[in-house]
Amino acid sequence: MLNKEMFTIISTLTSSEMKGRYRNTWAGFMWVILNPIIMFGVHALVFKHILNINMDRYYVFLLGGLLPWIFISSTITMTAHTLITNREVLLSFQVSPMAILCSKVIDNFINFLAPFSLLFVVLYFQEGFNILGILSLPISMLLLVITGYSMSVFFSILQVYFRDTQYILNFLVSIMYFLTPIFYPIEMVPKSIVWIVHINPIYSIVRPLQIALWDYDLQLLSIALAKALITCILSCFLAFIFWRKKRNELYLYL
Amino acid sequence: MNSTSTSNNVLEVKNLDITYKTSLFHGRSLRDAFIEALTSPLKFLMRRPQSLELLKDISFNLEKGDRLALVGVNGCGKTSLCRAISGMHGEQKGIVVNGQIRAIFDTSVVVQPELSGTENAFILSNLLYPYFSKKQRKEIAEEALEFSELGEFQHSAFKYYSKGMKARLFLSIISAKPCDLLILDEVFNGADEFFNEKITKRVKEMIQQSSAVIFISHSADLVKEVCNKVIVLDKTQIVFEGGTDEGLDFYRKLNKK
Repeated sequence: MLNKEMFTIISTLTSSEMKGRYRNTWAGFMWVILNPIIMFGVHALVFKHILNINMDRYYVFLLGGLLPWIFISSTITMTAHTLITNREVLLSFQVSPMAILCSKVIDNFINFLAPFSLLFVVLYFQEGFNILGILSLPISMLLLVITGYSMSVFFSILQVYFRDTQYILNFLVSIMYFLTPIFYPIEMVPKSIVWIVHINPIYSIVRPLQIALWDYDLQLLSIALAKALITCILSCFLAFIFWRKKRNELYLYL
Repeated sequence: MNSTSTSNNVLEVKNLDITYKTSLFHGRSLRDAFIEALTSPLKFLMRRPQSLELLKDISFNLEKGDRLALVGVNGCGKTSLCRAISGMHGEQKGIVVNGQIRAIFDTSVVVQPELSGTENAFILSNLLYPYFSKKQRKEIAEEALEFSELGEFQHSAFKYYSKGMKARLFLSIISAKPCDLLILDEVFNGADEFFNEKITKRVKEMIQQSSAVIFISHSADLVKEVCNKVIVLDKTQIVFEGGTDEGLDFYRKLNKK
């Protein structure tokens, strides 16, 4: 339940996480936001200019697909070991594991929003966006954050029981990166294997952002948002059940 | 004191069972599970978790003024019982708490190792006293920093602190305010001899000001000094509940058998 006390705990953990990561300096903050921008630049260089991928508004396509992908994949992989690394805190006094995970996800979301907003402003003046698409961004981002959080809950609990979860997760995320149309259009995927893309939960959560920014169409966006909502509800349900089932034993295995 | 208590009863524990499901995951990796699922699918599917029955049918009450010592050998379930009471296991059937609980299980905690002792003091104050106002939390952190006598070290990164220095700061913060139900699990370990005298006095004052206390310690002298009730846990059950001297005698005899 999100009451005033929980809000104090989550905001304290988030700000301490950010201070720890940025080391209280602007250079530290720049270092964190430069990472996705460099990834964006490298993808644009390799696929647009070296491999000559034939797509209109490729930079916008990357903004709508690659950056949300970086957010959700880094959230899952970075938070997988959170409960283990915070075991001293968790075993020492009453602080909810869910609050610690929530602070990590919020911190990561701020790290995503900063480069996303920067590139958004630059591309707005260069390429332009559909205004209705822009208005739909808060809903798509909310679904992205909630799904990222629920996946973090699931995998961080799994990591407590199976200590090799993070290694396997890193491997799976690198495979998913190639199987998710974030730097190539879905039309390039052969029809016989396109089902792989459609069952990919990360694609379903990223797709509304791609549509809102790159190929806005109200009908397409509505379908994508409905799919994203279903993915979000399912992942929340799974994480909640897993947490309820394992929360007591968690302290035994930490 | 931030209290929500309305009656004399601070804690009611009734027919509490704590059972952990083990062995299904214990000592395994996803890789092992994958190999087993391929090589012995039947065995993998038929595997059922074993139950570790830690506590069974635990019932006791705490009223205002009660200072209870939980006594028992290592692994008898003292800490698990305190975790369940403090709400770390979520809503637990059989436990009713009337008021705010503060439970401390270790004193050498690092929240953000990269940040200074001062910053960690403010973080700990926010985490331990979230129900206080922002101004009160700031005052708690400032007072604790002064009490801890860390001097110039308070500006150093927390990761460079020794276990004793961490304990100094943490103990200074947790002993700043009393509460309705205070749970202290071996909290006097860690700080150096000279500071220990000072902090012990302060923690004892906080214990006196708190409505009820559950205290876990292997030091019979401390138990005698701090507590007025003893519960002895043995083989999943309460085997003694009563006065301090009788309780400690019972525990000694129990382990001499």
